[in-house]
Amino acid sequence: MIEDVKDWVRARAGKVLVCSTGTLLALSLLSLAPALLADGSADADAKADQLIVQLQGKQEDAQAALETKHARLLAALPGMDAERADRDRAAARSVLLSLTDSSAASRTVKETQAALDARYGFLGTSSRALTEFIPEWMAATGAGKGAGTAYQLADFDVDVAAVKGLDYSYIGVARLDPVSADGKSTAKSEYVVFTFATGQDGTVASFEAYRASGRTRDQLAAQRPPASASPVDTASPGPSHSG
Amino acid sequence: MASTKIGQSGVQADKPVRKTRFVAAPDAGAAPGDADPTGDGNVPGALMSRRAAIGGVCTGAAALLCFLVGAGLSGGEATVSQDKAQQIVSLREQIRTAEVRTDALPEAKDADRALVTAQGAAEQIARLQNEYRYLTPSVADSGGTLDQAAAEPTRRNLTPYFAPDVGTTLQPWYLLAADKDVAAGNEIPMSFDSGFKWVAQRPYSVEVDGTIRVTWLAVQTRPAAGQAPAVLAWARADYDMTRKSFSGVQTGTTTTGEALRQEVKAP
Repeated sequence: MIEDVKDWVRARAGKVLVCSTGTLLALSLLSLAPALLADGSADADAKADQLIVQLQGKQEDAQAALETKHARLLAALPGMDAERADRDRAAARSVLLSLTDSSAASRTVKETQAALDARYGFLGTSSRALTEFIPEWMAATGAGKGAGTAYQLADFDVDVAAVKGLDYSYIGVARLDPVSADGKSTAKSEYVVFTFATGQDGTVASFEAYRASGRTRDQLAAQRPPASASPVDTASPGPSHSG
Repeated sequence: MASTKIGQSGVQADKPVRKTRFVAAPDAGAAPGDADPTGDGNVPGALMSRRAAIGGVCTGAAALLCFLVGAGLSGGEATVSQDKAQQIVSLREQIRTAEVRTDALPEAKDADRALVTAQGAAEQIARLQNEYRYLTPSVADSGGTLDQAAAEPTRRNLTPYFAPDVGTTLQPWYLLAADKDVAAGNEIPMSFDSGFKWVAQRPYSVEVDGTIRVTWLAVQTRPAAGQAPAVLAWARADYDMTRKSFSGVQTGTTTTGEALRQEVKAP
């Protein structure tokens, strides 16, 4: 009996082999089919892209609605003129940039102080911004030695601190990130605390800046969330609407 | 479809009657030369014909190739769509956040009332932080260790103004080293003649997330002649108008303030 089976298999060995490998081929084709159909993956990708574009549109709308409502709220709050505060912020931003740009300038400390003194009437000889901030900032950032570090204003966060009649005063904290041509600067981000006041006509009446200590800088850098963690909060790099 | 046919052929192969048809099936695909109608091409003693062997091996190789291609395709597809899926999830999250914030923004009169409450709380915090200055001589004497028992009343009074998870925020934000030589006076903390004081900013606006941000500055009380008082340290926190407490506290010192600071070791 067993001999019969053996003979039978032996007689048909070729067919058994072809048959079993054929079954394997069939199974593998079956497994390949979904992957090929998902060429369809191109199709699904296209659909995903479409959805992303739709969602981006919705996200911009939602953000715009939020900003509109927020601006309306600020305008309705008594005690300060939100539009004026925005203008004052822009003015202060330009002063701060003039001060911090000294890090990449080739001028000496004295030349920088003289230039800033001539440019801004409110920075007098007793001004801490000129007498303390500039020398320290330039020394810390390697300015005047040929290869000072350039910084860009990465965060500029200003609040109205007091309103007395038409005189406004503000407190702000700014973060400056190092920039270099190859994008691989080894310098750390710097933080600057500043206070300023503006007069009735919106001109800057005083401006003081203080560089954050190294200890604070390291603390703040550690607290900073990774860039991609909160896209909503980092979506507006311009002056904050607070204050 | 083709695979089904092959499968059927496999089952039918057991029946001798269908022998010729079975041989014809692989013949169409992999081994055209295997169309030996009887299978008698076998050399006596050999297990199978050369054509059958080649056909079998070729079909097996093709199956293996299909498996590999299939695995490769599905793997690549997964990474592409995962990126996009993440982007979609993140966009939906951003939309939801913006919508929730839009709905949660208060009415102007509620916001105005909250600004007054926040200012009151901010001023109390400045007052309590100023109380800590009185402990500077003892901190300096003990090499930077804060007398926890002496600090306890102030810390207890500070607690209700902050969210529960603020940690070290209830400690002194800044102490001035030069204050160690100030006479204790009449033992009343507020009469301590410190070289600096905390001043709370008056908040005027509401952030886009519905919180009210307040900044405190530690400024010199005895600046050098002809100079404006320097800022030695600052603190910032967000006031939640629903919970009526501050959170997200951030403190820092300026380079001037750091040089003049009395260190307080962590408890």
